[in-house]
This record gives sequence, structure tokens and C-alpha cells, in this order.
Amino acid sequence: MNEQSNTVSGLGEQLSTLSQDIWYLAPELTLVITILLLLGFDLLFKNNKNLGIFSLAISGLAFTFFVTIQSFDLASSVLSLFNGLVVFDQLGLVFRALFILAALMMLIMATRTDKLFSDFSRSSELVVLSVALILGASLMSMSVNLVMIYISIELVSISSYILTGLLNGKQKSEASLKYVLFGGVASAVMIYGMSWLYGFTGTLDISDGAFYSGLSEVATLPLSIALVMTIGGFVFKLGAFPFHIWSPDVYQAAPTPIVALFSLAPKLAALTILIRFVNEIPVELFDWKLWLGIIAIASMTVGNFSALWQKNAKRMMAYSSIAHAGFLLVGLLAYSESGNVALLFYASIYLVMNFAAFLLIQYFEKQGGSAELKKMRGLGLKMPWIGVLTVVVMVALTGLPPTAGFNAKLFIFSSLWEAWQIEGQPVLLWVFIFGLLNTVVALFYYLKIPYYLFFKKSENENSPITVNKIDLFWGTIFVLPLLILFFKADWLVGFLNSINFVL
Amino acid sequence: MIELQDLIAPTAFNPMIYWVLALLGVPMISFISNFFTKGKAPVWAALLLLINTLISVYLAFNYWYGEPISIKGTWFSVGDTTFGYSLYLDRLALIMTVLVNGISFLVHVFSVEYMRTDPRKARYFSYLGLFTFSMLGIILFHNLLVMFMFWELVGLSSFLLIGFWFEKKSASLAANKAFIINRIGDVGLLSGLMILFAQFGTFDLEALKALMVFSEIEDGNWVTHFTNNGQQVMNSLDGRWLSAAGIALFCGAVGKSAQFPLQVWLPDAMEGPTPVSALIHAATMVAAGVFLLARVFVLLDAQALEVVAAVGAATAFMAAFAALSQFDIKKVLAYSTISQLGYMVMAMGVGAYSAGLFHLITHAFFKGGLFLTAGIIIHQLHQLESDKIKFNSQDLRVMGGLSKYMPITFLCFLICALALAGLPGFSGFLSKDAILLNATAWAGQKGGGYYIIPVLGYITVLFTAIYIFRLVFLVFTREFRLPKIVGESGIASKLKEGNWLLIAPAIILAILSVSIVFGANVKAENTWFMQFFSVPIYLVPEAYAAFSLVDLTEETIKGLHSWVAIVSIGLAAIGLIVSYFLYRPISKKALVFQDAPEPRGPLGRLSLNHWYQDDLYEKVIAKFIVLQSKSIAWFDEKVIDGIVDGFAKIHVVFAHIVRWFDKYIIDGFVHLTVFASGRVGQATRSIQSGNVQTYILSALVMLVLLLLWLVF
Repeated sequence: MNEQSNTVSGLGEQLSTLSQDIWYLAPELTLVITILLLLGFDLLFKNNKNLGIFSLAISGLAFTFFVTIQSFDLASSVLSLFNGLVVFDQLGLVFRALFILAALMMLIMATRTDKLFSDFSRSSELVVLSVALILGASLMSMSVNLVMIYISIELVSISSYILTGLLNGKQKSEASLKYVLFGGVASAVMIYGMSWLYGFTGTLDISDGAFYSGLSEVATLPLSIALVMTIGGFVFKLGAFPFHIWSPDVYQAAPTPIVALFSLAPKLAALTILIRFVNEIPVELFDWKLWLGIIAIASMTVGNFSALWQKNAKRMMAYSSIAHAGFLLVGLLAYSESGNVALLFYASIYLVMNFAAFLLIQYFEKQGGSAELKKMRGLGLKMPWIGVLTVVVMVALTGLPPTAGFNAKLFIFSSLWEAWQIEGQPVLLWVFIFGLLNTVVALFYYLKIPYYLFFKKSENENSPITVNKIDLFWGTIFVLPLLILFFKADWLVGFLNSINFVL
Repeated sequence: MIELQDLIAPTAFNPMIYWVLALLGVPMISFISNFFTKGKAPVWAALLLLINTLISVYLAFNYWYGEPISIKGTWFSVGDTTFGYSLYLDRLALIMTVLVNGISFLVHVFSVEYMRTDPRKARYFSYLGLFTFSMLGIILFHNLLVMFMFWELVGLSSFLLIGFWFEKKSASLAANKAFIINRIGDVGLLSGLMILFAQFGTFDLEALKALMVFSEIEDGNWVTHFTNNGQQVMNSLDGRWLSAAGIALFCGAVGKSAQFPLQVWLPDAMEGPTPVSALIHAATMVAAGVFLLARVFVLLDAQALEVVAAVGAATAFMAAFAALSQFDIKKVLAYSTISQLGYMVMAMGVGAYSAGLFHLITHAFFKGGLFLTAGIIIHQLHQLESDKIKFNSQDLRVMGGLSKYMPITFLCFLICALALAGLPGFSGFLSKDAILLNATAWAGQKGGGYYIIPVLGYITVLFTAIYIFRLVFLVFTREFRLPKIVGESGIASKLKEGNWLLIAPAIILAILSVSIVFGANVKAENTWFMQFFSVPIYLVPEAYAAFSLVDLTEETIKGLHSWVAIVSIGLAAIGLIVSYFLYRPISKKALVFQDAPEPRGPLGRLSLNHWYQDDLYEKVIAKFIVLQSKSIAWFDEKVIDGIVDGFAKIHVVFAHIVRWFDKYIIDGFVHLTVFASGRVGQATRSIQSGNVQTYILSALVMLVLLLLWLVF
């Protein structure tokens, strides 16, 4: 392939390859078309745009999902597209399907609060930027070229910056600005590292054999500096230690559906980039497992312990997502066939439980006016069904039965244990021990929400609350997979097992 | 060597599963939807059952001649053990689905009128849906564990329907009694399941049958040989466990099919609405025990079958005797049902598989018909009740001469009664004849004391004819006694025939009780039913297998047949005549029947109180249990509690010590941990000062520190 890209001389021939390859990107094309349609609709109509915007976005995303599923068979073997800019494989497709699901769930969440609904539909900007974020994440999940990686990360980042600050409010603008500055620095560090890598190897294509052989000839110190800087950029998107500091402020300020999206799509996209990237690094020269193991331990510990003190549910979930970034890295460390299945299982369950948690927090936010824990006092007794759903989700996030959160943790840690037994690297054992200890710590703050809901007396005892039937419906739909997949985990595992993991 | 996993391997997808799901799903829809339909419930439920009946008839016509259809799948696995489900559509399942759906539909139609004024009728129809669903589950599934679950569901729906008028204390007590006594039988059934599972490691009936063939008796031990996942398995149990398994399975049938000694629940179950009695406690559910026996028939050994035959014969005789002197029309029919179920069980016990099933079918029609016509009478009499006039509308003493007022009802009742008595020309004759013939042939083979079983069968024929014609005479002939009792002569003119919703189902069931339905023949073995259902061969190890009727020569049968038929017809005729002389319109007894006292003689009292079985249970067993529990309570209170209290005192002292330790040492440690993790949290959080320059700086510093640590 790469040889071919060097030898292709005629411009026409190159163009014809490109125009053939473009059809493999059908999901991305439909996303672009959705964005264009939304923008056009926004320009043409003045009032009452909510129905149009939501139906365009939802049908566009649903169609993309359909197209993604359709292309599954095409990817039975790995294809390299656009002269090695991106690869087309089943791993990427699974993640893309998850991103689109996330976007759909975000739109559903947005309809559940009147204020958010009007924010989302006043103009199409929020929706367009969310779709752009998904587009960026999709491209991230298939990039194998340093420039392509950089561009797709920036597409996600810039969409995120604007999404954070788009709505009025001092807090939002402040968080957005912090995010931009912090993200800018992270990008700068990453692209500086990438320029080193280019200098070492003379190629941008990480799947190119020249990349690997080029790196193998570099001395350890410069190689480590370059790689640490590059991976630092990915870690920023993953929201893991040490580039996690932006997330609490951003999570607290941004609208809840957007936060739910932030906590999922960029993280998983960064994870796929990491999967592809570490695969091309010579292990003898740079022990990336040690490095990522430390990052995982640090993320879990920092996230969980900081979360203990939070008084705001959304801020707490921000730290929780830092901790979960650590757990996702555990799957990457247990790098094997079963480890990959465990990782994808964890990612899918994380999608469901995260969205369910944010949806329920949004309900409480609607009742109490903010996501402060003290505003939730006694709400569980007034809205028993929502309360019970919250308990289920929190138990799932902790990773206890009878929820799929337990299976996810079980799979990921048992594959880590297997990996440790085969490879015997001490860092894997340390990750294992810290991961289990952190699960115990997590119990304390996750169950704080049910504790506030059921055991604390509410301020105004006598005001009954009637919960919207549709709210109940979506709450149940979001939570139900967690219970079903606990009892029938083999449904999802069976599908994931059928995926071709060749990178 | 036979491989277990091959036997229970899931089958390829078979579109038949949609039909099966439809059969089970339609009543389930009726169950769920009727919680919401309110006033529309009767028509909606009846419509659903009509659809299901049509489906079952269609399936029966299409698959009657084909090979049995078997669908297997995996339900769940625990370790290496796979629990499957399997559906099996053979002729037995097909004809049972038609029977259950058909009678259920007729009862639905009947109930539309019968329950018209009941405020909770939606719930009633919902329960009927649940019952039909669970009954079909027993029929269609071919896995003992799944069948057991549906078995329990059937028990639940029976409980709900017996206690449907739960405001009546007697109804809720009867429901409890039925439920509790059935549990006793189910414990037996469950033990049977466990024995089979311990031996074969599967609940699948087809697999059990296949594996049973490969088991044998070695030195008095029951040994199985098969492979599981390629590994050789050899389970060995004492040979008596084989008999125990059969008897334990039979215990389930004893409970559900109201056999001695657990039959006491069925007469009380008549507290439920009469259509329910017709559907559940006469035609279908109580036959589930017989159906179960038919399903496990080939797994029963000689000893178990002897127990089955003896219990069946005893039940048939005892219940028929009790039916002779009851005053409640439904009680008579209830005892009659027990007695007829005894026949079926006896048939299974002597190995007359097809005769027993044949009787199951014919009995379902004529007994269903009898109950429905009784229901019409009760319903129409009930209309006469008002605030001033109160009477028990089920009491024979208030009836009499009803043929004038309700001629069609009378005709239907008469046809079904003739079928029950077993007179030629009616279906009951054919099936009963077949059972008696087989039982006689069986006793002939075994000889000696075994003749008691057919003899009990013959005496029951006599009693049956007496009690059912007693009903016919007392209910329909002479004059209407109610006006005399309540002292209002105008009331008689108000009595009317039931409307077509009540009459039509009864007519259909009466027509189905005529023998021509099963073939224009007086010999049972020439009917289409007996042609299609042949007696299967026992699969238990040869040493333990019972003598099979298949081995009888045709001559033996032929020789017996004519005199069996003559004796049974003769006994029925004698019963009819005795009954006529006792209760004919001008007999002394009939003239003053409104004042008839309870029978006085020892025999009469024995009959009225059903051998004092209830009293025995209440006064002896229940009392014994209460006494025992009292003594245990005393022991518990004084001795165990005393010891416990003593321990508790020691514990309290010890606890004080532990408390001190806990408070200062353990809690101190916990507080320390909490404090430490709190500090860690504070430290990790403190980076979050809100100043973006600090953020960036700290991130970069940490990155560099990591790098340094990594490189050096």
C-alpha cells in the first residue's frame, strides 16, 4: 500500500483511487450531509424550528447508524484508504456505531427538559456542533496518519470548546476559555512530539513499516520524549491523568446532555487512537505498558479520591469519568484477543451507564434547579421509580451485580489478570491491585446519591411530585440494558467475539 | 455409547415454533389485556380463545399423520450442565390442545352469560386466560422442569379461580386447601424430578427415554451408561430408586388429579364459579395428572405401576360411594369426577395407556357437559332468589320436575349422564369398557389378589349408574319442590330455560358425548382414537419392567371382551333400575325429598362424609401436627431459648469487651483510613484552584516528572 503511494505518479490515478475510497466513508459522508441539511434548514426557517432540527438530526444519525451497520461486512478484512490516511476495519466501525448511539441518546436527553429543548432548537448550532464532534470522533477512530490524527482531534476539540461556551452564562464562558487554553497547550505538546516522530522516521503514516524501523534506530531518551509528548495529546482527549484537570470545570458548566456526550465520544475515540498507536511502537525501546499503567493507576486514584469530596453530582461524574478513563486503559493494557473483547464490552456498558446516569441527574436537576447533591434530598421517596433506577445505575457504575457494570469490570480485570500471568510485568499486577481498591473507594461516592435520595429528609416535605410518564419511559429504557446484559451478557459478548481484531 | 449432548442439542430453526408461540401467546394476551378491558372482557376473551381453538384445530388436521415435531433449545447453562427447553408436538399434544382450547372456548362463551352481573368479571376472564396458557404449557413442553413450572402455574390459576369469590370465607378456605394439598403432591413430583436428574443429568423427556433404554439392573443396582461431552458417565443407584422415581412422579398426579389420599381438595373446590368447575375441576386441569402419567408412562417400572393401579381403583370406588348420598348437585359431580379420574389412573397403572387417554377425552366432554348443565340450573334458580326468598340454589332438595321448565337442559344432562353411566351408544361406554377389559386382562395375567382392582372397577360402574340417575330423577322428574319450601307457588312460573349462550356450549358437549363421534362401533378398539394411540413399550430395564398389555394375544382379548361388556352393561343397567326404584317419581323417597334428612345408617354417614377422610385429616393428622408443634414450641421456648439466653448473657459481657476494642482500636483504624483517603482526595483536588495557568503548569510538571521517572 505504502509502496504504492510512493510509486503512484500521475495525479489522475491518485484522484481515481481517492474517489473509489470515498465510498468506504459513507457513514462520515452522511454525517456531513446531515450537518449541511441542518445548516440549510436553519437559514431557511425563522420560527418553530424544533421539530425540523430534531427530526433532521435524528433521521440523519439513524441513517448513519444504518449505513455503519451495513458496512460491517465490507470490513471483514482491513483496508487502508486514501494512501494510508485512514484504515477501515471492524474495530473502528464498532466505535463509530457507539458514537452515533451516543449522539442519539444525547438528543433524546435534550428533549426531556424544556429549557434545554429550547436551547437546542433556537438555532441548529448545538446540534450541528454535536454532529461535527461525532464526525471528528469517527475520523479519530480510523486515523493512522499523524496529520489525520491531529486534524480529527482538533475537529473534536474545537467543537467541544464551542459547545461548552455557546450558551449564555459567565460560568460557561469561563469554563470554555479554560478548556480552549488547556486544549491548546495539549495540542501544542502533541504536535511538537509528532514533529519529532516525523523527524525520526520521515513518514507520517504510523502503519508504514518505515515508521517502526525508523523508531527502532533512535536512542531511548529522545524517543521517550517524543512519544510521551505525543501520547500526552491523546491522554488529553481521553481525560486521563495528568491532562484531566480541565474536565470538572467543563462538566459542571456545560449542559447535561452535552456533558454526557463529552464523557463518552472523545474518550473512546482517543482510546482507539491509542490502541492503533501503541501497536506501532517498539516495546524494547519504550515500555509503553509501564507508562500507560502508571497513567491508569493515577487516573483511577485521582478520579475516585477527588470524587469523594464533591457536592455537585455533575462535578462528581466528571471525576468519575476520569476514573473510568483509567479503567478503559486497563482494557488496553490487557492487550490480547479476550482483552479487546473486554475493552469493547466495557466501552459499550460505559456508554449505557454514563448516559443513564446523566439522564437521571438531569431529571433531578429539573426538579431541584441544580445538580447539587443537597437539592436531591428526599427526592427518591417522592419519585420512587426514578429513585430505584438511580440506585441501579449507581450500582452499575460501582461495578457490582446484578448489573452489567459488574460483568464489564469482571471481564476487564480477568483479562488483565490473564495478561499478567502470561507476561509477568509487575506493572500489570499493580494496576490490578489499584483497580480493585479503587472500586471500593468508588462505592462511597456513587452510593452517596442514593443516600441523599432516600435517607435524607427533603426540605419541603409535603409537595408531591408528579413525574412525566415519558421521563419514566426513557429512564427505564436507558437503565434496562444494564440489567439485561448482566443476565444475558453472552448476547453482547457473542457479537463482539465475531469482530475481526486485526489492526 | 449414547451421548447426552446429542440428545439435548438444540434443533435447527423450525417455523413451527411460531405456531406454538401463537398457541401459548393468545391466552397470555387474554390474561394480560383483560386487566384493562373492563366491560369488554367477556367478548374479547371469548374471541381470543376462538382464535386459539381454530389454530389448534388447524394444527391437529395438518400434523396428525406426520412424525412428532420436536423443537429443542438451550435455556441456560450452569457450569457444564445445560438446561434446555423442548417442545414436542405428537398426536397426544395435538388432541390435548384441541380439547383444552375447545372446552376453554365453550366455557368462555358460557361464562359470558353466567358472569354477566359480576363486578369483577374482567379479572375472571383474565384468570381463565392464565389457566389456558399454563395448561397449554404443560401439554406442549416436553421437559420435566419446564412442565413442572407450568404445573405450578396451573395450580396458581386454579387457586385464584376457586377463591374467585373470596369474600365468601368458605371459598377462600377451599382455595387454600386446594393449594396446600396440591403442594404435598408437588413435593413428590419434585423429588421424582430430582431422582431422574441425579441419574441422567437432564430433564428432557426424549433424552430421558433414550437414556432409560441404556440403563440396566446390575446386582440389584440401577446403573446408567452414557457419555456426556465425550466423557463416560456411569451413575448407579439402588434398584428401588427406580420404583421410587415412578411413585414420586405419580405423587404429582395424585395431587393434581385428586387421587387418594389427596383427593379431599376437589369437592371443596366446587366453591368456585360453576364454569370454572367444568373447565378446570372436571375437564382439563385435573386430567393433567393423567397426562403427566401418559408422558412418563414408559419410565415407570412394575412396582410403581402397581401402586398407580391400586390408588386409582381405590379412588374410583371411594368417590363413587361418596357420591351416592350428597345433597349438593355440584358435590355429586365432584365426587363423580374423582371417581372417573380414578378410572383413568387405574388404566395407566394396568398399562392401558390408550384406554386411559381415551377416557380422559370422553370424560372431558361428558363431565364438562354435566357441569355446564348443572351450571344452567344453578344460574336459573339463582335468578329466583330475592331479598325475601333465600335458598341454596345448589341443593337437590329445592329442585325437581325441572324437565318441564328447561327441556333442552334436561336433554343435554341426560345424554351426558348416560355417557357417564357407560351405557352403549354413548362415549363413556367405549372408554370405560376399554379400561375394564384391559384391567381384567391384566388381573388375569397377574392372578390372585390382583383381581381386587378390576372388581373395584366393576362395583364403581354400579355406583356410578345409581348416583347419576339419582340426580336425573331428583332434579328433573316429579314436581318443582321449591315453591313448597319457600311457600310461594307463583315462583315456579318464573323459572325459564337458560338463553342460548348457556345452552349452546352444553349442547355441543352433549353431542360430543355420543359414541358416534368416535366411530360407529360398539367396540372400543375399533374407534379411531384407539387406532391412533397404541400402547407404548416400557423402556425401564427388563428386570423391573411391568407386564405389557401389548404382549396379550388377540384371542385372550376377544375371549374376555364379550363378557366384560355384558357385565359392565348389566351393572350399569342394574344401577339404573335400583336408582329408578329408589327415586322414581312416585317412590316414597322422592315424594318427601324436600324434607329428606341426612342419612343415618353407618354406611350412609360414611358415604355422606366421604369415608370421614376430612375428619381424619383434621382430627388426627392436623391435631397431631398441632400437638407436636406445641411440644416443639415448648422445647424451643424453654430449652433452646434457655440455652440461647444463657449464651446471649455471655455474649453481652463479651460484647462489652469487644465494643471497647472496636471503638478505640478498629474504629480508630477506620477513622484513620477515612482521614487518610480524605487527605488524599483533598490533595488531588487542590490542583483545581480555578486558575488556568496553574492547571497547565501542573499538568506539564507532572508530565515531565513522569518522563523523568520513566527514563531514569
